[in-house]
Amino acid sequence: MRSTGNGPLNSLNSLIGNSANKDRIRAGQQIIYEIEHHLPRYKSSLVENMAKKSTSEHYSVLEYGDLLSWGTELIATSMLLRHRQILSLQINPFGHSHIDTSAVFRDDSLIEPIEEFTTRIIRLLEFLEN
Amino acid sequence: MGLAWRLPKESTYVDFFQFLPRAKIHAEENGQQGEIDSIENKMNSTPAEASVHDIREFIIKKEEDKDLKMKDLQIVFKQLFEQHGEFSALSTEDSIDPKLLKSLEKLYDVRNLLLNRLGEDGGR
Repeated sequence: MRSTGNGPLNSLNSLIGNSANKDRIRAGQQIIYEIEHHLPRYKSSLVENMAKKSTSEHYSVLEYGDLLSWGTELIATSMLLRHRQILSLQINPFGHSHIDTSAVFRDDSLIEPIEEFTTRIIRLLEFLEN
Repeated sequence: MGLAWRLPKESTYVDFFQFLPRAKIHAEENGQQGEIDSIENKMNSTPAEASVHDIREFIIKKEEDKDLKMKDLQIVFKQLFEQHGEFSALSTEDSIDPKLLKSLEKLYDVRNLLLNRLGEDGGR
């Protein structure tokens, strides 16, 4: 991108003109690309298994198995999405110079799955406690 | 002897779900999805015929599968960030939604309750 005067474009040119920053942006873009490659392996956004209808320990065991698998996929997807989000901000020359990595994070695509995941865990917990 | 005696107790849900960063986990690499499906089908179709052994195997294999997935995630993050020194990975706790974090803790409570319950009645 060429500079056409003062303002943000100058900031961009000074940033990308710096070799270290160029390497940093390239590295960030590469990681984001690889994250995109890994994301489809996890199905955490799909609410594909309904809670088991039967009762007794069989219900609890099968439901626990489903929730365990789903939980691991939610962890993986959440982590990949969170890192993609932060990297995108960090390599954006007009973005914040300091990213608050402790800020509460919520990806829209995971709101419904996490709600459903939580509901099913609470239901199972109540079943086991009664 | 109940199931609770046969499965290793994990100290916290953070250990159980192998939150990053931590030492490498050593999970056995078994091609076990077929076995899990087989036991699950049996428990669904003819629950009366599912034995304590089936239930125990189902839980063990599900938890081994969880360990494999978490190990795989460790490898993914190692590959993503080790070759690009400009950036570093966050811990699992800083990477996931607080609501998911609480739910995982509850799921760990479910596990302990389930093991205790199965241990008390032999998994019937």
